[in-house]
Amino acid sequence: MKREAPAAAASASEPWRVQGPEADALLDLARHEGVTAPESERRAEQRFLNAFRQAREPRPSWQRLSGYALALAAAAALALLVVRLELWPRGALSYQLNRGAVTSSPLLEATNGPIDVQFSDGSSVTVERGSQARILDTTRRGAHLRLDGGRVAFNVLPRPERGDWSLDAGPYQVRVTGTAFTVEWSAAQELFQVDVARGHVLVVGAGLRKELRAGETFRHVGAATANAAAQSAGVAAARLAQDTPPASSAEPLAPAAPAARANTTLDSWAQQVALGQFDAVVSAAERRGVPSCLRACSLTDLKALADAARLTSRAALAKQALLAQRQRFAGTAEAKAAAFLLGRLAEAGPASEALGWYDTYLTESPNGRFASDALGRKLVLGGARDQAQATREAREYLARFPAGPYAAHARSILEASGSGR
Amino acid sequence: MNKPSTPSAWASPPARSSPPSVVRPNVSELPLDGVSDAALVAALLNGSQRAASVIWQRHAPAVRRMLARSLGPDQELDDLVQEVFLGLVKSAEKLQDPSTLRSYLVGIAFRTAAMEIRRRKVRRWVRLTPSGEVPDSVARDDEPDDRRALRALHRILDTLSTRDRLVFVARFVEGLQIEETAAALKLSKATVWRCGKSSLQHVIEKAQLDPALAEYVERALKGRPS
Repeated sequence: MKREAPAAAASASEPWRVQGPEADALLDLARHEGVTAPESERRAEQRFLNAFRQAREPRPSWQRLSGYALALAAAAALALLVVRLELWPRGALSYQLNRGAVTSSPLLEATNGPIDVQFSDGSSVTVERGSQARILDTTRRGAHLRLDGGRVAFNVLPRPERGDWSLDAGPYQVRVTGTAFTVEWSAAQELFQVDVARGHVLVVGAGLRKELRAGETFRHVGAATANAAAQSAGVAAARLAQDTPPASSAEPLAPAAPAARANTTLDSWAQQVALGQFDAVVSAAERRGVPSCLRACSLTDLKALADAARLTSRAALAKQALLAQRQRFAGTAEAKAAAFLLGRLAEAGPASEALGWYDTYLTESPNGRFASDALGRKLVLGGARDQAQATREAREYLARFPAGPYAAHARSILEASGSGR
Repeated sequence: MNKPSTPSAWASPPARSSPPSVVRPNVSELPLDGVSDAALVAALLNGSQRAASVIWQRHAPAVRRMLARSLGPDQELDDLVQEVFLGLVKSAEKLQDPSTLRSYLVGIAFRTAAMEIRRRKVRRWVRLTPSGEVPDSVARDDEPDDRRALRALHRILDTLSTRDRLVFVARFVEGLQIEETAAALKLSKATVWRCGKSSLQHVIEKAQLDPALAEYVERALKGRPS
């Protein structure tokens, strides 16, 4: 072996450069990743799926009970620790007016000028002129206010333990930790706006759940909020029933419906699809009117609608949404991909239609992300066509995707035709 | 219009032998291969085993590759890949933007690699040999040259801190951008830049002094077209 010689040569030569051919060769070596046998890969996948299944199965009752017992013991220990650390309740926060006058506490009606409220923990709230708010409740960690209309500015001081500040405004609730922000609400104009200057807040209600950080603004203007807002005054808005407001504000409100408002930008159909709320997307499209949506919805919404429809077995609607993508957004990647998905849907009918869509897809996107699948599905569906074409396609598939999921099928076609090796 | 040769067939549902209201195509059983990562994560959260399978098929090769490049030849690689995907199953609910599944998995993979590197260091300390190397990582004379060189390279990577090693792998081996590396390793961009520069310099300097690597590089350069 001549292993010592190169080292000697190297040490005598110029130092390797960071961006030189030696470094490139070294990095190529570092990119070595080894080879894994397909059987080993399949076994690994099966092992993962078994573990996934086990993770989803409910645990036996004795395991759950022991888990509860442990959790209970931990909670008891934590409670003792909290007591020990002198987090003993110190009573609710108190507050006083620093500026302005009120007609009746806790109503803060800033008719003649702004009202400043100072809380005993150092936090403050300013109700701007012409606005009306009220303090609904105070606890030792914060206060619960309601903004009937106008604009209020919060300056909540951070606390060692989690703060408990919240503000209801129409159908929304703003939950606060340590932060400075303003909230504007107008039931008449259906306007809700939050501007966060420091820290972060959580906005919930009307189907939304949005965290805002310093510098961010949330603004919503819409007719749909008016009815909900009128019904929700004085009640925690996070529990607002979105589509069917309660008959009376005195009645307990139902939990929020899973369907979210489709025209709210922060809760798009794509996001709902991502969250698995497929039925909600389809329902929203139906409320809007499917033909109108097919004519006017954005490409993103059409794609989300097609996905939601496909994943809830609404083949006709999925097909309409995919065709609309192709008609209205021809040439886009989504429109090209729609051809493949139309092929998949069409497999429920005559094979020729599905094959037509796969051909379309492969013509438009010969190297697209579904190319392997489109070619593979053609192999599976193409049994009725002439053998020469099937053989040609099987060869093409193996040449392009030798380890693809349809490789075995392609080989069987070649073997049947006598072309197999 | 971009349609196949039988566009009229799409004007109405395909003709069937039974009433359309009774027969509905079982679209939910379609392969999820073409479905977006976001939809897959949603399905995973709903307990879909098919989604778990597709996520595995789509991302396991990249995760395995990343771990192999971070850790070198390792008999426990399969276990580590499992660890990454089980980590995803446990924490998928925390994934705020499901469309970033790949980046999320990259992050888990690097954290798993970091834990494994630390475990190795502990093992090395417990089973300390005079050379400070784990016995099974020592090169043998009858090993193929490339494998010997690879082991030598990973011995050099072992001399880097965990952070520097992972930055080196992410930036120069995996080819991630500074921003992507910073996000995956939860470091600042400045730290990534600094660690990348120093780790590359360190590896190059050490490699030049290693006989197996010097020989490998010489052979590789001779084999390249000029």
